Formats: sequence, C-alpha cells, structure tokens
Amino acid sequence: MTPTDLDEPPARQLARSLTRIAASPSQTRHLHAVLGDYCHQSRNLLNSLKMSFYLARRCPDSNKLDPLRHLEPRYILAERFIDRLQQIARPIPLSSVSLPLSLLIDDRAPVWAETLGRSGRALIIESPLDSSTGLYDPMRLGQGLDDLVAWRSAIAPPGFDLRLRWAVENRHFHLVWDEPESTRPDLRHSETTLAQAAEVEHWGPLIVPLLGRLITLQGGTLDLTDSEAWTLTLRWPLDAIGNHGEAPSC
Amino acid sequence: MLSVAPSPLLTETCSAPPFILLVDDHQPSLDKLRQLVEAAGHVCVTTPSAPEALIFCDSRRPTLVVTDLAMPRLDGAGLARWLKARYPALPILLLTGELLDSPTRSNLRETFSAVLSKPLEIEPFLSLLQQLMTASGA
Repeated sequence: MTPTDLDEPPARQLARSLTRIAASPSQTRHLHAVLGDYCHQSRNLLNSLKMSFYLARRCPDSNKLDPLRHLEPRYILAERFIDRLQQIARPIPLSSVSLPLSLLIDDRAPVWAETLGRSGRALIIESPLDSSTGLYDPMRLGQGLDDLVAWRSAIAPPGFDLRLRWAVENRHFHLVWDEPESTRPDLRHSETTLAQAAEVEHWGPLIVPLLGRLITLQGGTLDLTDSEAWTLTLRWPLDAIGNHGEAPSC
Repeated sequence: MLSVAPSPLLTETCSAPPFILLVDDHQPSLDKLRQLVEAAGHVCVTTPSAPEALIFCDSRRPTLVVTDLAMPRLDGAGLARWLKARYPALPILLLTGELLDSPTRSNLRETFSAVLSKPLEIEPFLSLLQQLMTASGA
C-alpha cells in the first residue's frame, strides 16, 4: 500500500483491490466464497437493525427517539454498499446478444444527459460513423454504465464536460469514459451537494470492479487511470462466442 | 433422510392455533422477527433450523411458515419442498439475504407464496402476513 492509497476514501481503495481481482477469473471463485458469506451476514445484521428501528418507532416514547431518524440515511448507505458488494461477488450469468453498440449508447444517451444536466454537467459522446455488431449483455452493460454515470455525475464539479467515446478496433469494442481533470468534490459546492457526493462515495466507486467482472467474463479488459485525469477504458471482443458467463449459485 | 431429535431450542409463545412458524438459523434475526410479528398482533413459534421445523409441524400445524433460505443441514427451499409434499395448502414465505437471479426467483416462486429480500420492506411484509393469515381463516 502506498501513501496515495492511504489518502483515498476506503470505498475507492476497496474498489481498486476488487478491480484487480475481477481481472482474474480464477480468483473470483474465492471472491464469491469470502464476500458472499460476508454479504449474507451483513444483510442479516441490517435486517435486524431495520426491524429494531421499526419497533423503536412504534413504542410509546418514540418521540424521544428522534435522533434515530438521522441514522436512517446511514442505514440506506450501508444497504447500497452491501448490494453492490454482493453484485460483484456473486456469479454473473451473461445474457449476451449480438447487437451494434450504438443501439445501447443511443438508447441511454438521453437519460445520461438528463442525469448530468441536473447537476450542471454535460456529456459529450463521440461515436464512430460505422457501428459494427458484436456480443455484449445489453441489460448488464447498460445498467453498469447507468450506475457509472450516476456516480461520476454526483462527484464531478459543475461546469465540466464529461466525455464518452467508443470505437471498434481489431474486432474489439473500445469504450472510454474520459474526464480531463480530477473529479474530487469541489469545496466551493453547497453543503447539500458535498453531502450527496460524500454519500455516493460510499458505494459509487464499486461500479468499477462490477464493470470489470462483466467485461472480463466477456473476454475483455478494464483499465482505469486515476490521476489528474480520470479515464476508464473497457475493451472486449466483438465475437466471444460461447461465453455465457458464470452459472448462478442457487 | 432426516433424523433429528426434538429440539429444546424450540420456543413456543402460545399454545393455541392459529400461529406463524418462523425459521431462521441467525438467532438475532429470529428474535427480532418474532418481536415484529408479535407486535403486529400474530402469535408465533420460532425454531432455528429446518429439520426442527419439520419435526414441529408433525405435531402442530402452523397457519403460515416464514423461513430463511440459507441454513445449514437443510435450507429454506428444502424445508418448503418437504412441507409442501405433506401440506400442499400451507402458505410459506421465503426471506433471503441472497441476491437472486430472475430465473432462480421464478423457480422459488413455484414453491413459496412470496420471496422477499433482506433487509425486509417491513410494512409490505406485515401486510402480506395479514393477507395470508386472513386467507387461511385465521
């Protein structure tokens, strides 16, 4: 671990480690065993907490428990964090179909633009003139990109243009999310915006290993450059025939 | 083959039917679930394992069973298959901390009256309990 690692928020450190593991299919079996149990126990714990909150609110002295209301958002964060960990750890059965990638990008782009626009950011999409057809799981990849947009839009400073470009090279899809400058929350933001950014930092970074799991199963690679610029590159073959992902665990 | 001795851990809170049988190997969750169900006005019996639940059902028939999925020895799905084979009309609810795929969830819905994820959405869960208890004539 480097000093830079120590400066990172814990969820980013965890995301970085999980992304490395996600790149190696042989290690994901251990990930499933270890994180699967951890997530299961955490869900039991959260479930007990949630029932306790509910029962506490029903008791006659519940007005004395007002501070509990402040715990509820923290509880929701914990639940989202566990959800995302579980998505990464569980086996991922792919439902890949052969489609032009433009179909997915064109379908989602208006929603992404709206998400970013609400927080004063713009998304510039650079598409190739010719859209080759290739295999991918449109539901899982689409959801993964939606979550990536939601996370980056929550933490990128207003006024910055975010860039998504994609192309087909050597019979591979290349999809690149590119932010020219560091997107750490800006201290000039309002308190509300900062709080939202801090909240999303608890689980948002974990979209990277989840995308990594998905792309690795598709026979591809995920690369992340996180210095002054933030660049995420997904690259996978157009024709990874016969890859159906992992069998479900139950 | 099940060969489990009657359990001293079985906790009976009321001797008169109708009642709900709660099954979970995670004792804090089971205790809290019992409190929740009792606070909603239902009588319940708790047991920490599926084999003990099966033995209990041989002597006293619950109106409704609520079970966890992941449990050692026999899981919630196995328990439900045994119970459905003996008592086809018995409603059984599944609670699970697993993230289930759509095909797995659909599969489980063939056995269970409903499949609910932990942490529970509490109000809908209690409404469902009430509906199932009412439909069973409780």
